[in-house]
Amino acid sequence: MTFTEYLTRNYDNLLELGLEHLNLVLISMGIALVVGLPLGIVAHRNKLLRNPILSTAGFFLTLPSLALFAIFIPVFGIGAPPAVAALSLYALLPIVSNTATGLASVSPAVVKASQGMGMTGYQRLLRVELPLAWPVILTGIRVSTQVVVGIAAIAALVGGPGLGTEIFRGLRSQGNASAPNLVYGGTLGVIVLALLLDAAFVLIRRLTISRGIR
Amino acid sequence: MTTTDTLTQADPARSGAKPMIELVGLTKRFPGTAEAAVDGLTLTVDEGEITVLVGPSGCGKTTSMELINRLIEPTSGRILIDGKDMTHTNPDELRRHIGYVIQETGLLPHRTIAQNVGTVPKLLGWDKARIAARVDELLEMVGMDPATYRGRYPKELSGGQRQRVGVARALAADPPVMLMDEPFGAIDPITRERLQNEFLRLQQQVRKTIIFVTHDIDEALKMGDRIAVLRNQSHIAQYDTPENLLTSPADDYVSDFIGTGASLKRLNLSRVRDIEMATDAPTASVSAPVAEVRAALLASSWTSLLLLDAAGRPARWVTSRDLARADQGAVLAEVGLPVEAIVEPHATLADALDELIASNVGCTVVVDGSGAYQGIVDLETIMTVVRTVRDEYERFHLAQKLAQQPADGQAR
Amino acid sequence: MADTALATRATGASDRAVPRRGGSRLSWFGMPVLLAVILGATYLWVGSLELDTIERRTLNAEQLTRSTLEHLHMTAVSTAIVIVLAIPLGVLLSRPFARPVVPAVLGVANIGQGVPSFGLITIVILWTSLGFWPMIIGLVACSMLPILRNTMVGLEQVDRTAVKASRGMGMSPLQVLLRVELPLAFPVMIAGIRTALIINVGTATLGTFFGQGGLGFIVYNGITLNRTPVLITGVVLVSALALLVDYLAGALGRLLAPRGL
Repeated sequence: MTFTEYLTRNYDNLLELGLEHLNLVLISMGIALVVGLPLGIVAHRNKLLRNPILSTAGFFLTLPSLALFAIFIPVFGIGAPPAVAALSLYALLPIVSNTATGLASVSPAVVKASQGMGMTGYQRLLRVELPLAWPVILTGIRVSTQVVVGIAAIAALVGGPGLGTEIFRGLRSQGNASAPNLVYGGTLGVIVLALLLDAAFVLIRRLTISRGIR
Repeated sequence: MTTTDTLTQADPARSGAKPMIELVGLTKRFPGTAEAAVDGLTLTVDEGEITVLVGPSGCGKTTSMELINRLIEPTSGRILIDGKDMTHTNPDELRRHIGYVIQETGLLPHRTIAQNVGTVPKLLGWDKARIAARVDELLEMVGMDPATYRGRYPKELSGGQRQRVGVARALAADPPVMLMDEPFGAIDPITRERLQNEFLRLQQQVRKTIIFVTHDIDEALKMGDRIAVLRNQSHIAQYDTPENLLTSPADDYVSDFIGTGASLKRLNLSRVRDIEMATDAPTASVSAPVAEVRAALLASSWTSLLLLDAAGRPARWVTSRDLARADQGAVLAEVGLPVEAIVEPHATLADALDELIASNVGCTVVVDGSGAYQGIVDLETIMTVVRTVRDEYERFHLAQKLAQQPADGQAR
Repeated sequence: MADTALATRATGASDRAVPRRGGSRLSWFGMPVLLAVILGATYLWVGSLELDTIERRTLNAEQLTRSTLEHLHMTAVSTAIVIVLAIPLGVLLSRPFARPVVPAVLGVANIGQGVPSFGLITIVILWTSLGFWPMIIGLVACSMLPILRNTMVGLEQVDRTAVKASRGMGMSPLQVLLRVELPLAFPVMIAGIRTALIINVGTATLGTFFGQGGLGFIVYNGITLNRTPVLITGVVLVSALALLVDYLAGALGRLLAPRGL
């Protein structure tokens, strides 16, 4: 069976796995954003907490991915939950560090002027600082997403969903004629998904970044 | 010809002015520092006046300003605006009613010019139509075509234009009080000069109560109705009108800060229309017969005669030698020297002197708004003014000293 | 994994992009102390358990030592090879004559970020066979990008005036490279090497799926045998190894960095 034949026959299956993979990525990224953005803001505002927060986020990124996936198995059991937990932690550092860096790069003059015009701290954050830091934050989210898309393939090793299962299946049926197709299919699927998400980020950039700071 | 825009400064001595900003014993001590950054600053600014805080860097002038809109919370002391104590009100609310312009402009780069100017009105909850109308009005006021600029972003403007938008933004909600922290400091000298003049003209219109911070004494003298020269910790060395500052500096610190050019700077404060110019210079029409022109020249004590065109505008300077050449067939309108040094009555004496030195005749011609000849300013005239002013102030000082001595005696 | 590299390059200003010099006592001794505490606690905890025979088959000194050595072996060999390959290539690509191909290389590098390391190694194995060297090829392929890229970026950000001045003093292009450009690019390059090292430690964990053992063997045994003590021991050992290697690379970078940078 050629790779093309494999693709036409397994199109549905690959698409389904791709959607699972995407789902895994989106949920993990969602959690990472909800946790990471506030942490980044705290890291920017509180000089004392800055280093502990950044080192902790960096710590997770240093851990081997299989270890991080495995550590959640005693807690969540086999399947998607340990994968989501591990991926969320992996995604944290780029988001947190870019949020802090982005906020720090906002011109002090602009902050002072906003304050001088009578914006409250909350208004300043929402209307001035976050919009101005947004390009840098968005870059962080984009990097995180790429990291997560790649690593999510490993979820299959802890019984998780996604395109990794196809690769794992290929590895197990090694020597079998169909094995390479499965591995190519899974790997290529991840790459395509990564490219599609990257393209989505180009679009989000266009749509959400003011022309004044592009 | 001078085109420098010079405007009358409000008479600082006018009585009955209402105090708008009152600072009482304002003190700021930053944690961990032995010396207070601002130590007991007490200052009253009258409504509609520009008060300049001037001093060397590190003297606390910017801190003093930021204490007023409470970007920095004072350690002690009180801030009164229009008689109301603002020391403990909501600082955000307070700031929405104080215009604020800073050197770096601080425009929001992700927002259009219109959104920038409309920031405070939006914070105050104005409706959209009202904000839009106000934005256009303000852009017009600072000399920027609303249709062209309202949709642009700050990065698409020059430094001078950005600072204009900064001023418009500060004026947006029509605050009675404005704070300006070296607003023209980061702008090239030529544009700065223009913005200063435009701003003074605008101020005549809007009559805001302004505190203006600068380290540049020349800018202070130009912009200020009153000037507070500050030394360390915002201690006031002298709080006075520009004229008094120049003629009678309170101490060596002040005179050192004003620098060596004090006498020259004083010329910036007097205007051509306020002095007596020479009106006895011989004049004649360019179309007059040569003989008649020569007669006019001989009848005067001058060595040159000013030829005027049909509209009475100065045309050329001629001497008797030029007239001799006209006798030999040269056209009267082409002999002699062109008139280069011309000023209008609202020009300062410094402008007139500048023109005079640059010209080839040694005097400056004064013309009215339509360009018609009015009189002559020469070095003699300027020297007389300087001497009179100096004498007057010396006498004034002497009188003050004499008046103080018996008073001191009585106190003992 | 392969993508860890990105995270450190997120903004160019991110924390690990350039190792900090000096630093407090905490940054020098904090990590070793933390690791010692964690390892000690795990040892005490596992030691206090009644291990069954299945657990004992994995959790014995001999097996743990063998797995750790296998892991270190894979990491060391792959990192050495990737340094030898990627740095000269990066230098070559930063020379003026390579300018036309640079965008293409960076473009490929960007796509490469989306390649899952797990898939990549599997493909290498399928093309060759199970074995140590195919595994190493897979690891090298995964960790190539950060070193290559940081070498290029590091050389590119060297102050042009310093290069010009050196040329002006009569240094040859090679002398300028060796005495000016490489020392100035060192902090960024070392950050790339450090990232590659982390990737290799992490990816070597997958070695067990390709018959190469390593600490992944302990972890995966823990998962498949459903034995938490085994799983935890594996996770702690491999994590401690990664953190230690990262710490040592960071410390080495700080010690070797040219003074004045």
